[in-house]
Amino acid sequence: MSTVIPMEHDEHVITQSLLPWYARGQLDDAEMREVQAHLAHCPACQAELAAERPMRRLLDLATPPTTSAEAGLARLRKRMAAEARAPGRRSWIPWALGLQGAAIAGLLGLVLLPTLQPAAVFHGLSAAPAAHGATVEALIMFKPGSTEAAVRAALLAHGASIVSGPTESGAYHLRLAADPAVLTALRAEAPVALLESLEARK
Amino acid sequence: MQGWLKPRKTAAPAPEKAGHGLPESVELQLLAGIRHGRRADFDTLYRLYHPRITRFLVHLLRDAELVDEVLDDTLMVVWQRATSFDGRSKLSTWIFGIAYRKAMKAVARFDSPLPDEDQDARTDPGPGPEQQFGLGQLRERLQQALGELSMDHRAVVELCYFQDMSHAEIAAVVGCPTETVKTRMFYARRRLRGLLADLGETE
Repeated sequence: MSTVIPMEHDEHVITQSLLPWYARGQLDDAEMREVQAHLAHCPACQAELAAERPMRRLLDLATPPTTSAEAGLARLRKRMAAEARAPGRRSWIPWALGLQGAAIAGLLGLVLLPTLQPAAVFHGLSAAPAAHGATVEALIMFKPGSTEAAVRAALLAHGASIVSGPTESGAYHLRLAADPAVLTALRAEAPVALLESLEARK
Repeated sequence: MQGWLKPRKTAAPAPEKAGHGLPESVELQLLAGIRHGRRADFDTLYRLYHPRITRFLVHLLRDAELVDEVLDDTLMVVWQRATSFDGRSKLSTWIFGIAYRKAMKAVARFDSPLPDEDQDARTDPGPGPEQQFGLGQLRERLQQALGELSMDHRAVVELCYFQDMSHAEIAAVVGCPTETVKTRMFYARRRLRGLLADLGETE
């Protein structure tokens, strides 16, 4: 835990206000360099970065129980129907409401199937199970111009798999063995520009 | 140590990140359908956004009835005013922005701070060994910490940690400068970080 006292233009404040996005690879290049430069020499802010994963897990406890989308949709449909009957509604609403009924189910199937497929494929490719044993998550960025083959070879060589990404700044979430040597070895691979563990500690 | 925060079942898949929905192009196709009054497209978009908007509003409003009301208000706007989306932001930014403004209005209408008073009989168990904390108590302390944050601060935490939005996207949703988002994050994070430290997650 940092004991930093917040002050305007304080480097620690600037860094810590950006850390959650840094950990997700969502900063632009200038901000990312700024955070990296500060982290390089600030153990307090390094500890704050390490706390990002436990923070996320802590906040997960506040996740509300899931409510039914279908119940919500049914409630909203009633309201939509009521508002459609009210004067002053646009003329296409009654027509659209006419679509309700058995045909909707078929239409929905047609709409859902093709749209859901890309997500399913993406999931299948990206959510490769980690090798057995303890794993950690890390953030990785590749050097511009790296080939897919080089990236794949580097990840395979160290048993790392991509969990998600790319983020807007081009970083990927990685899962790999919870072994500092693996992290160091992967970081040394040619296509790797940046590799940071997202774990508090092992 | 962080024993209580470690995932108990390592075999279980990581929780789905709420921010990772379908590709933007698919969502925009649905919106195009909604503009033509296609209910099936609306229903699909509703199902996509229901979990995300619900959890956002639960964190923001902390009142189940109000959550349903604001959720419905938000999706009604999407249905009725789909043409007012100008495409300059992501669709999710537009929809979350509507939800945020509707939530602020709902709270202002009651003119009461935050609907959390019914829980004020709680007692603070105080810091102690982690073994003392059951899951229920952890949740309670977390809710208490979140409750001490303003709605604005909770919005920034939620949109970053759970909806995976960048600070620029969050600024667009809540309608304030990016610098303000960063400042809110600093203070909100520090408050929650204090709780984490209390729970034994110290260096």
